This record gives sequence, C-alpha cells and structure tokens, in this order.
Amino acid sequence: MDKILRIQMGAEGGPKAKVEPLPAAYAGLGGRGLTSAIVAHEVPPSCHPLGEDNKLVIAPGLLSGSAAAMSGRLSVGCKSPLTGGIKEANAGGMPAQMLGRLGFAAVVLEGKPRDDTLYRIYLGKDKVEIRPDNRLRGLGNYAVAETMKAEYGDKVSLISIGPAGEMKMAAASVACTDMEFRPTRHAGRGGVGAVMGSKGVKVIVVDDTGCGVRRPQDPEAFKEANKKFVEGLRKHAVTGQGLPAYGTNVLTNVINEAGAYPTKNFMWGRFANCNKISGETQAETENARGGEGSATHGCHRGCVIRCSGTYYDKDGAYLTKQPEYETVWAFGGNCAIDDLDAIATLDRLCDDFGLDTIETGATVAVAMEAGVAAFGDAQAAIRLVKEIGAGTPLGRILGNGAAVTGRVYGVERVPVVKGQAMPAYDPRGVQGIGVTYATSTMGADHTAGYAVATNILGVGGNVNPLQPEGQVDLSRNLQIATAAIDATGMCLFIAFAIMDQPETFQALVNLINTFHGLKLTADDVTALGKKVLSLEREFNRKAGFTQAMDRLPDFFRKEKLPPHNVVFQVKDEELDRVFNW
Amino acid sequence: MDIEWAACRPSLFFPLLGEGIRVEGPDGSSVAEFLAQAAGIDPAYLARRVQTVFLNGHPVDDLARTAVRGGDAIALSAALPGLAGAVLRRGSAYAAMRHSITWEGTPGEKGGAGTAAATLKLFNLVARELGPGLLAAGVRVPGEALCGFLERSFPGGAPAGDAVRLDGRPSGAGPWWRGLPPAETHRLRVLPAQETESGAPGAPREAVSPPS
Ligand code: SF4
Repeated sequence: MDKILRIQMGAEGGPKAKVEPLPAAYAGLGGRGLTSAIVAHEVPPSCHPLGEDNKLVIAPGLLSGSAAAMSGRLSVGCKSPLTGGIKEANAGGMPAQMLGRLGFAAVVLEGKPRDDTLYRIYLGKDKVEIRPDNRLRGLGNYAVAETMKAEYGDKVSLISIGPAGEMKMAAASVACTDMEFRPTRHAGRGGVGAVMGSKGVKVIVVDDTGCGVRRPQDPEAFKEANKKFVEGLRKHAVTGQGLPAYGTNVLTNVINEAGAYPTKNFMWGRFANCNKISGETQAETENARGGEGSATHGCHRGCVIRCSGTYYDKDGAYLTKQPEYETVWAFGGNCAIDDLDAIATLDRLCDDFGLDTIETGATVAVAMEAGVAAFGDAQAAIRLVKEIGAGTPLGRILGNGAAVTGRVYGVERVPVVKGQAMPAYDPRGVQGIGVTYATSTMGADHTAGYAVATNILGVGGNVNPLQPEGQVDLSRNLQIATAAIDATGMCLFIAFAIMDQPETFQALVNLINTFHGLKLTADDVTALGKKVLSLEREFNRKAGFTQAMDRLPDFFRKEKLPPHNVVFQVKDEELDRVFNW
Repeated sequence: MDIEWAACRPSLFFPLLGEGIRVEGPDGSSVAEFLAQAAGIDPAYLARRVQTVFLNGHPVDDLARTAVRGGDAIALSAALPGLAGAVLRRGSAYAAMRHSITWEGTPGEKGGAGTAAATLKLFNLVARELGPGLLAAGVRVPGEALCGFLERSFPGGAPAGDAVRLDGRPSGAGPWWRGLPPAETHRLRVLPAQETESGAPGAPREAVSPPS
C-alpha cells in the first residue's frame, strides 16, 4: 500500500488516471487519518462541496488486505455537502481488503467531468480503466451489482452510488458490496455519495485477482499479535457474545429503559412499543425464519465479531442485511413505527437508492412532525423514501436531509448539529454524548466519541467520573481516541475489548508495529488522534465554522424530555473547552 | 389463568421477559438481595454478568446501596456496545456523561419489613441465560402485555408442534389468548416441547445454553 491513485475526472479528452508513490506527508496514515489529511491539505476549505475543487478520497485501513482481523473498513472523505465541513464516513464490506491487496493507500477522485457522462472505473492488478457507461444512469445499487456481476462475476467488489448520489442529494451514501456481493454496507454520513455523483462516477469495480494477502514485515510476531487480538475480541462479553447474538440493535431496549431513546422526532425519551423492534425480537425473528447468515454474520472476510446478520421476509426471501440499531431507531421509534418488516423494507430502499439511514429516518420524522405523514404510518414512510428515489420535488427536499426539510416546512424541532441529523441517543438523557454531538468535527455523530479507554490511552489527564464537569474532558478524550482508531481503519467495534483489556489494546498496537516495522507506543496513537482532530478542526475553521456552531439546537435546553424530564445542561463555556489542548 | 406451554422454540419467549414480569421480594432490601429472593438470581452472576442495572429507568451504580420498593421496575442487561453502552454500565468510568439520570435513591437495608411487588425486565444475554430457568419455573405476566406479545409473535395461534394447557386443559387451536382478561396477571410456564410431552426431562428440540 505504497501508492495513491488519482483520477482527474475533468481532464482534457476525458478522465485520466495517475498512480503516484505515497507522499512522505501521508506515510503511516490510513482510514480517516489519510482521508482527512488529504482533504485538509489539498481541498480549499471554502470550495463548493459539489464543485471541481472538492476531492473524494477513498482509503482502506493501515492493515486492510492483510490477515489482521477486523481490518476491512473503508473510509470515504471529502468536504461535506451536508455540513459544509470536513467529512469522513466509513463502511465495511469487501472493497477495503481488495484495495489494500492492490496496493492502494488511497483512491482520489478529483475535478469534475466536462459533461454529464456517467463513468465506471475498474481497478485490477496493474490495470486502471475508466469508461463511460450511461446505461447505469438511474439504477439502484442492487441493479448496479447485478449489471457488474454479469460482466465481472461476483469475486470482485463494488463501490457505488444509487440515484440519490447521482442527484447529488446531501443524504446520499456510498455503497460497498459485502461478502455476498450485495450493496449493503454504506459510508452513510454527510452526503459523501453526492460528492461521488458530482465526480460523475457511478461505480468502482475493485478486482484483486492475482494479488496475494499483504505480507507483514515480521510474520511471526504479526501472527502472534493477531492471535492475541482475536482471543481478546472473542473473550469479551460485548465483542464475543452480545454483538454476535443481537447486533447493535441490542441497544434498543436498554436506551429506551434509560429514557434516552429519541421517540417521535425527539419528543419523548421512551417508545412504548420498543420491544416489538428490539434486538432481542429481531434476533428471535431472524432465527425463527432461518436462512444463511440470519442472526450472526460478518460484513467482510476477516471480521471475527460478526455483529451483522441477514434479514429474510416472512416467506423466507432475502430482504436486506440485518438493520443496525441506528436504522431501526431512525425509522422505528423516531417515526413511531413498530413493524420490523417495514423497517427492513426501508433499510433495503435506502441501500438501493444510496441513502444514509440515520439522515433519512430523521428527515422522515421531521416531515411527520410537519404533517406530511402521520407518525407511526409505516406505509407512508415507505412512500416518502420512494419519493426520494424517484427524485420528485418532495423527494428532492427530503433527500437533502432533516435540516433542509425542517426549513422548508417551518419545523422548529429539528435535531441536527452543523446540518447533520443526530443519531439514536437523546443528549438530554446521556448529556456527555450531547457534548460530542455539539463539538464533533463531523456534525452530530455517535461514533465520534465512541468508546476507547481513556485510562489506557492516558489522554487528557485524570477525569473524576462522578463530577458532571468531567463529561467535557471525557468527550475530548473519547474523540481523540476514536480518531486514532479510525486512523488505523479498524472496525470501531474493537473499542469495547480494547477498553476493558489492556492486553488486547497492546495486541492492536503490536499488529500495526509488526506489520509495518514500526515502534509505535500508546502515546503515539494518542498523538495521531489529536493530529487528525486538529487537521479537521482547522479545515472547518477555514471553511467558516465558529464556536457558535458547536451547539445543540435550542429545544434541547428548553423542552424537558420525559420520563426523566431533563434538559441539556452543559454550558456553552464548557463546550468551548472541549478542544483546548 | 395458569398457562403451561410446551414449546418447540422456548427462546421465542425471551423477548417477553424484556417487557417485564411481576416478582415479589423483601420491601426495602437492596437490589441484589431483592433479586436473589424474588427471582433466585445468584448475586455472583449479578456481579459478574449484569453490567447495567436500571431502577425505574435510572442507571444504578451500587447494587448494595440501592433499595427496592413496591411498584419499582428493575431492568437487567449484560455488557453493551457503543459509547452509550459504556456510559450506562455500573460504576462506569464515563458515569459523568449520564449524571442527569443516574439513580440517587435510598440505600437498601438487609431484609426489609414487608413484601414489595416489582416489575423485572431482563434484556439480551441476561434473558437468554436466565430465561430458560425462569420460564420453566413459571413467570407472572400482566394480561395486556402477554396478549400483545402472543398476538404479534404467533398471529395464527401457537406454532405447529407446540402444546398449550390453560388451567390444566388443552387450549385448542387459534389465538385463544384473545379471551384472556387483560387486567389480570397470569402465570406462564414455558418448557421445551419434549420435556412436557413425555412428562420427564428429555432432549429439548432447541438447545438452551446455561449461564457461563
Ligand atoms: S463487527 Fe460488525 S461492523 Fe465491524 S467488521 Fe464485523 S460485521 Fe462489520
């Protein structure tokens, strides 16, 4: 992985590809670390996100393509059309492993085509091919996969956009195919699909035929580190049992019990029918319906946690992958819909149209609040999402996210930060998450401060966990640590085992060191996280972001959230301390 | 009503435990003691496996110093993913992030005076591990919750191969639960089908894993 592929889409005579060695400034970076570094250094912060100066950076992780477990996440970075700031969204699926084996640290789409021709790109061993292919126009991601399969078989992988990306909607995602060659894994947030659409690229076919597994510098030590890493993941209750059994939807019942489950567009903290859509019910439903990979399945080869699954309909026909917690919430409790089959249908539609399920669910809830449809009406929600896919005038509004929809319909309760919809935790219930929503470089983002051991990484000094003031320090530390993990390109769900088991954290550091012949310490990992966040903050500052944008919408301070009747209490001055280091 | 259900897939009833069953224990006792008395939950299991505990929707940090009173609702969960999962854990290093909802109730006393009726909710792996024993022993469930659960889990009636007895008599086919009084609490026993069919323990059709 020592080269970057740059494709200038606006070149004279048609798109031109150039392979160059990885510049020294980007060495040692992968995933979000690399996408954010390239965007921060090469994209003018004031550019239009859909213009020729923006770049779409696609980067596998530091260990993608090797035998390291969990190393197959793909990062997609750019200036976001949703937030107007820097963006990294990541996805599982097969492309990261294959890009790693092809030796690419990043693929960068630059410029803008001179007309509205739609392109497909093929990346194989020693081969880059860019071809116009207007047959693909308007196709959903599933149809794109079928079309490509007919030509290349199903041993390749795809990075594609659906109609939402072609229409440059701010909720558009970038899809990656999974092990079954289905486009179910999405870099969802921030409208990265719109940027791919603005570059005129419908699909990138990644074919690692003829490429071997990437070799570590120290094979024996690497093998040992990987073994310890996998053991650590398997023995931990979350990564070894909870996630494989229920997936992330295991959270529904518990967040609801805590009174922090945003219900009916953040009106309430509890959804009375949540048990109908809980992870427990979902797992039992999937197990009872049966089928290949039903309740426990990985999104790419090399995943040992396997938090995903496959959702079959009542008749046993494949419908979609197992919807994740955020998706089940966005279309479930947030829209007061309690029908798992309907939610799975909405997930399928979003995957096919290429839409972020969090943004789309939040948008449908705002539309429901505006009276466009009734809360709880699953069929109406399906119709609204189909409007987006069809690109009707209403669909164009909805496809541009919750903030735009709220403005168009004059809705006051719009749960966004920096234009991006909040995920499935009400910040009045879990206030520390509100700190992260408010201050993240990415807009409201639940993964920004996910969960990595501040005590292990030792960032930001000691925090007294019993003092409310501690949440600002915790949020900062978690954001640093998350940025560090994201920069490795590993699946963030490794965080739980790392948090509780120092030896598993050490195994991760050893994996990176033995693969690349480095001598990183935990401090270096922390420094990397800080560096990534600093680059992102600086980009946003130059793009016009101010402290006033590090705030939650007003209603979180004014409207009490039942059942605990709490408001968001963290003071603005406290929020402004998050990035003081 | 006394309901005995010989089920081919007892695990289909685990989500019902998340809606809440009725239990009784010593009034004013600590959460740990109450659960031991009311549901036979081993304090060692509680300490090791149950990472997140709620009392009336508030995360609890200290099980020994939290009292259970009549009408309370206790919810138990194994370790959870996500920042929220980490934050909600007992004694979490991130407890500050949820200080606005953390339980700040009264400490429990050993062996309270009277009896308190409470609601117990079991989620995820805790339901999977404690569920078989509790369901086999029989749980008390409010009629409305039970009917709602059965209606959506088995819309046409009990699955083929299951056998149900109501107060000792066969239930008959179809959704018989529509006739259950919703305001009453019913006792539900769920056993693996082969155990009850033969009248003696045998190999269940669905393997049920014991607590690890
Ligand atoms: S844990 Fe889940 S998200 Fe992470 S790599 Fe595995 S299946 Fe994908």
